[in-house]
Amino acid sequence: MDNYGKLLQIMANVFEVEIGHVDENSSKETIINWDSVQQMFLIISLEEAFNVRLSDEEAVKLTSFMMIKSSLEKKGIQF
Amino acid sequence: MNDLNIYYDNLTYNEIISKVRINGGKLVGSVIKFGILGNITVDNYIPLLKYLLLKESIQADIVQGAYDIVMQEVLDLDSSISKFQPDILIVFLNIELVSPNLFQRFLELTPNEINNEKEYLLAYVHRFFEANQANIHSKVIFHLFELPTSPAFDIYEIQNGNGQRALINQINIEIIELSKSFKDIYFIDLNIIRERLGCENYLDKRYWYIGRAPFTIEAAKGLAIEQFKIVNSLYGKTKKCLVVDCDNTLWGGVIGEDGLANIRIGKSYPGNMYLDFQRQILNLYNKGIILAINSKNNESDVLEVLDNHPEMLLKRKHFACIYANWNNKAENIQNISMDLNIGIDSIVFVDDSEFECNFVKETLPRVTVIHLPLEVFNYAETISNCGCFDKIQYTDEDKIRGDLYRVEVERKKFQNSFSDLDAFYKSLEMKIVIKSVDEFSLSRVSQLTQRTNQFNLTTTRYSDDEIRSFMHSDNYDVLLLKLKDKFGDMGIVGVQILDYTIPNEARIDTFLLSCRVIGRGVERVFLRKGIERCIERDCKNIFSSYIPTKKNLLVADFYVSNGFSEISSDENCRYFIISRIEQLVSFDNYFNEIILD
Repeated sequence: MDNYGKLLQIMANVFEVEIGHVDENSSKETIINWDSVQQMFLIISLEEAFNVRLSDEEAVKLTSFMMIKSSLEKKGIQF
Repeated sequence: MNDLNIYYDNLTYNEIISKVRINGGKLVGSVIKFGILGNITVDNYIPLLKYLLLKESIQADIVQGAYDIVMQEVLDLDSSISKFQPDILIVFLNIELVSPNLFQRFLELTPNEINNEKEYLLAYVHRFFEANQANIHSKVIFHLFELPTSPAFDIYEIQNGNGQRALINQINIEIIELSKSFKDIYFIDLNIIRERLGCENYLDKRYWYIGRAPFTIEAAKGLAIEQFKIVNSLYGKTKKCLVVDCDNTLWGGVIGEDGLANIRIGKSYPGNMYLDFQRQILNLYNKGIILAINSKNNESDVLEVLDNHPEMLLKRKHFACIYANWNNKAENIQNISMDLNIGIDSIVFVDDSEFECNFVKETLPRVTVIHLPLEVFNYAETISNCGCFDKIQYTDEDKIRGDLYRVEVERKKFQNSFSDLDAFYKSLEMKIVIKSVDEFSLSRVSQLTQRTNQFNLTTTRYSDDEIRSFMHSDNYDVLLLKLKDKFGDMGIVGVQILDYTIPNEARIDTFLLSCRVIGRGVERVFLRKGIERCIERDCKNIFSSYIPTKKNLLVADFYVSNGFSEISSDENCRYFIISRIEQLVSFDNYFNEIILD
């Protein structure tokens, strides 16, 4: 699976939605289930899956697919 | 660092959270209700605990109390936790938050103030245990306070011996002490989890500041494992038997090729790595775990090592049975399970060969398989940390169990030399003692109710305290049965609980026998003595029941075949009655002596 698909799968797992219901427009605004606890699950999942370390600011601010993608890209993950 | 991921089948966190959500969170099978209370955020470890329990076919139904109102949750009868009535209440009290004075302002406090703070904390914990016992009645898993890693007095701390760490350590000790006046309180030492991981890998500073969520993913994994071990032990899921391979497992090298003089075992490198591994296995033996060998070898070669190698810590006497042959290992494990009369799911199999491990895993999925790591120096830790054998309490029987089972296998061999079962039983020179439970036998009795699955008519599990309350009540008799024969003393192997709550009636609440003594007619003697006891108490009718489980089919017709009449049944239970001793089916007496205390 490419990193794009991997990120979608992770988000689908965390927010308990069908993989078809997440896309690059998904964000805290579009996913009802996206609360602070799920945010923590998301950050842990991302760090483990992409082997990166996210800062405290990122842990709080990464609340959309696009923000996550661009943050991971800055850490050398290619999409 | 030990590899926590083995417990989680090397799945990622993301895979685990999606796995524990299958069935749409619907609960099926055996369910344990957990309440989680605390002044910190612990959500990240919850999926991990659920995952570990799911592997044991236990579903966790979890309710979290409102954040940081620990005491109200147990005091208020309308709180979410009070209403939920959890089986197990898990408590996280972070000392930095519950007593900021001790943690952050330690240097500003006078000795008097420090003492007041300590007393306040102890009283708080005491009140919590008390409220739980009064209102919720849950078992409690309490996390002891973490000691500060940067103590207030820094290097001076250890010089004067009564600094911040010493104080918090003392508080932990006193909490354990005060818990003894309550029942079913168990502890986890977070400091051990932290030591295994190192502080940097234990505390997630980001989330500590973001949401008072201190545990890293590694700490969460370690924590879930510790809780899992306690739950496993409380629900009788602890494994009973360790089955080990020999070559490159108990010793280095291959005995059939290298010979006695050249296998690696002993006090110097590299034999010392295997010796340490053997020491861990011997520890398990001394804690009541049954050992068995399952090895592709000539039996004579293996026995020669066990009997004659001077450096071997494990000897022939430690193994209840030895299967050294060229059969496949799954077949051997099935034979071991039959020899020892234990379920296949209470067996743990350890081997260095990936092939053998996978073969057993696929053929016998209910066996727990441990594939030893590549590095031999990690063998010992793999066994000591495997979590399969941890028990929350130990009894005298545990210390000698390994030996009991070895003798049992000898007994079976002896039996095979008889063609007539009656003659065999008579030759055993069996002696039975039946008596009422006392303080000394109490924990073994409750242990039998916890562990016995096959010859157990109702499978009701009782704690020490429940047995004690029966013991002190006039409405109950708790009878135990001890058995001895020419091979040795088997200790307490049967329990019968009689309930006389309704006047002139008796109800056999519990009737069980350890699987080691099934099929000798012991149960008939025991049942008769119980009925006689009821009749002495003027009971006109004696009622009994059979509650079927997956494991107790063996005794489905026990009461009927002994002369009881079935009065009714539903899908969960069958009910029986007997009124006169003459209705009991008579039996051959194989016993040399029956003593009633």
